[in-house]
Amino acid sequence: MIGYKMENGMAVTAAESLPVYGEYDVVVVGGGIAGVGAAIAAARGGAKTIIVENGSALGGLVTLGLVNIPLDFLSGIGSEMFDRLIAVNGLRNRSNSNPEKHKLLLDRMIAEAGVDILLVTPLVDTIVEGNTVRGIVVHTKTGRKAIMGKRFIDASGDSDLVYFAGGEVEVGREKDNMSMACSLEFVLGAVDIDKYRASELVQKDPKWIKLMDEAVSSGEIPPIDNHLNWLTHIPDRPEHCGRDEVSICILHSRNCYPTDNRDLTRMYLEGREQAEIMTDFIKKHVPGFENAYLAQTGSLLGVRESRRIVGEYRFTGMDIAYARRFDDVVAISRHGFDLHGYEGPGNMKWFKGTLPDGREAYIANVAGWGSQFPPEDGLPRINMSELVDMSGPYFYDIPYRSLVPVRLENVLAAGRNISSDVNGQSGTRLIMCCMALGEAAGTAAAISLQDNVAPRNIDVGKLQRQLVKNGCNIGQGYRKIDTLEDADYSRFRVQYRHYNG
Amino acid sequence: MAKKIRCRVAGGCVVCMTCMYACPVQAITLIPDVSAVIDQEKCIGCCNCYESCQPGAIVREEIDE
Repeated sequence: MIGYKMENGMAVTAAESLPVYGEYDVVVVGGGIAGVGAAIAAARGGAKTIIVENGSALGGLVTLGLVNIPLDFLSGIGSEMFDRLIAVNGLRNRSNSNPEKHKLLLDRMIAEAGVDILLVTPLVDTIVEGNTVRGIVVHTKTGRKAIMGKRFIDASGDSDLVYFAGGEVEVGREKDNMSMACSLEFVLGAVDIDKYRASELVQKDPKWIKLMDEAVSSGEIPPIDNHLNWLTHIPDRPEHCGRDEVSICILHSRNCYPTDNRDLTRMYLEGREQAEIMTDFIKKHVPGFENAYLAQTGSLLGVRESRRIVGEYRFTGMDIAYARRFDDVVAISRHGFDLHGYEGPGNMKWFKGTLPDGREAYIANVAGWGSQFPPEDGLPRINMSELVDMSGPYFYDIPYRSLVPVRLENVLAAGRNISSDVNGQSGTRLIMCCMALGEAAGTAAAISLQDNVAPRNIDVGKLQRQLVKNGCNIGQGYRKIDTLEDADYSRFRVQYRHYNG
Repeated sequence: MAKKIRCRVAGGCVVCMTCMYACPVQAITLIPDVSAVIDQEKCIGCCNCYESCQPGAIVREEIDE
């Protein structure tokens, strides 16, 4: 190996020569759900594709992170994935998934698409000439290697590729670069879910607001959160015998800097301590959990927001509040604002925006404010249903330009790291939205190769027609999109597991 | 007396809106921060909402025509 010498307090290396592992059309950095969507789409578009992942399995948070609640609009490859999960009893109730079945399914879908895969292989650097990325450098157990490519998709979640390529990024909120709270998810076993569902707690206090308030006020537990975020039954494990397994989102680390490895480490250590505290608490207080045990904590921390690219369009809270429609729509979402308290408990399902008359106001999601309300400072507070046309289902468009980094000529971003402010990002980060963004990026990368143009310059109408042809939902069931062929898109209106009909 | 199926939000709704998007006839509205509400007149008893409700807050009932 090359080795380093210490010079002036820094570790310095001479110029290195690295072997080339492979040459590809499309290199996807990150094997989370966005990366999987991107890689399959690129390969199906005719590109020789590799997916490179830091962890030991595909899926990122939905598998390794135990966030087995794949929400948001179903689209294209995501819809296909749902059908296959349902077929193996790996998905129930539209949004409860089995992480183990999901991991195996993703392995198979990647292999079937003819995508090359490298697991447990972190990105360490890039090879850049001017504004063009020529390759990535990865760590392997036999030393660093280069992987060459023509198009690169940053599906790393933390914009690692764009960052290492010297691209423009932003992280956290503007004032202090702090990211919203992160959560380590956990699974409890030996749960009697039937007893839980029939309990008075679920009938009267389904989000455990009162339960948590009493527990924190009495000092029984530290202020981990002020409510239950979600509790998700895992299908295809024992049922109706008091041995169900559920995953729970309630643990939180605050004051987060998830691109600092020391802080990431802090959050994993803290998360596992919180898991023990909450397991004991839940066993004592929640009906149906009397015999529960801590089966597992996430191998991947639930980072919700971190480094985002600076792109051709910065998607903001105002785009969510006004249910914006974009000509270059490539994915849609309906999640709305969802910021987990930066410094303390609660979710903010609102943001400070601007009303049509120019006044500042706190604007809440259609579904409400969440568990942490805006400050009492005299600003008006309105529900976004007063701003948007509610004659149809509420959703907002995500434009292609938010996937395109400024300056870099052959890179696209996909997933939670698209170009956005923190309010916009809070509403584009859900799992199935990330998969749809991945599919859009992979399809765009393939088109850019076929047409020999930079991703920035592709014919977006052509991309949209290809996405719709591949079964993607860009809102065509809800409104007329001029770049699409005239056809009956009504089957894209109903979101029950997959499209009816 | 003939029976028909209707769905109703009982307790435990977490206002996630999944049911709203599963309903083919847009019979579901929201009381923000409180609950989804199924319009019993519009409901056609397809039970998409019942099947997609993750916390199991929706009940399916047989009622008289």
